[in-house]
Amino acid sequence: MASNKTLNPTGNHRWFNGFGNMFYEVNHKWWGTRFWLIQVFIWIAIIDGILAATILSQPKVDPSQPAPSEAEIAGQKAVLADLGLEMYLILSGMFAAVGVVVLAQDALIGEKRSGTAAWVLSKPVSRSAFLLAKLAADAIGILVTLVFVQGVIGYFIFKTATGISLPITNCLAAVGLVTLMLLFFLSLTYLLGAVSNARGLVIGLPLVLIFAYQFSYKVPALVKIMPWNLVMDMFGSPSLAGALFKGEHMATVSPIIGTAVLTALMIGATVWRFRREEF
Amino acid sequence: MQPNSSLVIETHNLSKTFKGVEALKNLNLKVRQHSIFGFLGPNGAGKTTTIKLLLGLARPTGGSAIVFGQDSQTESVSIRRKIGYLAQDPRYYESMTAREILRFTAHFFFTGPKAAIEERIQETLKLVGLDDKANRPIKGFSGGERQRLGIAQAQINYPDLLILDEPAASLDPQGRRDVLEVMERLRKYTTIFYSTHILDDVQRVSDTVAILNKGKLVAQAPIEELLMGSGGAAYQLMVKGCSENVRDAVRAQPWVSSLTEAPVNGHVSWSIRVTDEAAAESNLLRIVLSEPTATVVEFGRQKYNLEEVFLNIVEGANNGK
Repeated sequence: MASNKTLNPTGNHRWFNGFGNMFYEVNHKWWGTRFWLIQVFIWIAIIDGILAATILSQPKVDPSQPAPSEAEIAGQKAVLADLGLEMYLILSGMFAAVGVVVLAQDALIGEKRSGTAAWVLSKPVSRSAFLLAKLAADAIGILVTLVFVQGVIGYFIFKTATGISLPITNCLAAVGLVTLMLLFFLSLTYLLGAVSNARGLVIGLPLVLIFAYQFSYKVPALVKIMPWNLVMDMFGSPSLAGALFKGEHMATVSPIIGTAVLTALMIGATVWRFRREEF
Repeated sequence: MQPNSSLVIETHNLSKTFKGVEALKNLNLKVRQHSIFGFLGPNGAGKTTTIKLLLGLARPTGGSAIVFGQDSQTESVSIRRKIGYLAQDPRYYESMTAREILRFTAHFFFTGPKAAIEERIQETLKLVGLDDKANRPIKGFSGGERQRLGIAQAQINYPDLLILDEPAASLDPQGRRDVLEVMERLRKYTTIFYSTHILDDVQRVSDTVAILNKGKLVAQAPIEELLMGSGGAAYQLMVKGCSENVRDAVRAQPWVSSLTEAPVNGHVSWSIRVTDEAAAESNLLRIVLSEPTATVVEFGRQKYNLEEVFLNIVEGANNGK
């Protein structure tokens, strides 16, 4: 057998053992195949396609009618801009959250059921590293294909339709809230995948929560900690991402803090539960 | 407790209960360095559960397992650096090729120049005879090819301990032979702990055997010792022309505890269990040959085959319930 001289054992990083290799592998699944391209096209169709169809198809000025005043044009643009931002946030927040749940539902259950998790974890890989590497790689894949690419294309659609150039910093801040919302549902799906092997629960519960905003008036306190208000107007509280897009003052920050804290707690709980899993 | 350095695996009252069912009861195993340790038992005896506890894939409900002097629960990552493991039904990422599987596995164990890692992978593929299929996605692999890939990924880190869970169970005779040959080739480099219920394989390659039944360890010994049987030594004589007087004379010896006879192809086979081996070896033949017409066709220490030993032990344990 060949000697071990030229090969060095991987370092002992305790809970981080195997993170790099696992992260590389999950990243390869995203970027080493056509998977990312398929996701980009799917979400261009869903987010930017619907956005474009909505705001680019608004009625043009009728030449037979007297030319509108500048104030009227500005008013029309403002209405169109509001419509465009609202559409974008619903599509990239609520619709994309559904996509995140569908994309992530198999991340842990699939590995547990197929036996690949047991195989990988029989190597010098810590469970925390296995889980966090998958979560981080999925988060990056989602961030790029569902948020970044769609945001850039959406920006130009918006500019074409309204003629308004939104400040980049405002856009980044608003897209940051969209990202936070998607991370919330990604973490929730991972948590459920760690807790249960029932696919119905792992997909169903997050979907219920996404659309539960319609009934949130029954428990108003939930609006303050759940991510709905990040992208949607909720009972008199305008969407926080919408306010950031427009450079307006946010009515509240509690949904941001609530979502961030819940996301962190869910990631912690997922690690805790997964470390107790038996294979 | 001070761990014994010549022991690779040491369990102390290791127990595991699943939903009220005791899968493993107070297991005390000792596996010495550089042994090929056959871990036998009927299906459901607790073999796979034991292996998963050793690897830290499951948590014991009682007792502990020490591997390389380290606790299998608190130091499992460190232990797994020195272990190669082949699962009973190995599963991999199906879209990967054999080479990619080995590359992925190798990177958990070591870093180094790419060429050196690829050399190690190629060498391991050759060891298991998969070098010509290395770049094929494994979803098209046969059971035997998967098993050989399993051995390759378990061997990629040159482990100090190779744990194989039913390595030949799903293989045809040729595949089984190949796997056993690989194990024999590896024995000089590593300790091999493997579970099986194929007794011929155990008898062929193992030096130490433990038998598990219904979660309890019912025997653990070097295989030679186990094949001698329990309840004292026994001798086998194939005789011709012996009268009843001779047989009674043998039976009357104080060191003979039992004599059973059975006709075999015109001869009579005697199975004599004794309490004093020295007395038996110096006197037994002499007594038989004291009869002028007697002929001894065969004489020797009786050896059981592993199947007999296994069935005696397992059925004995079951009857004792």
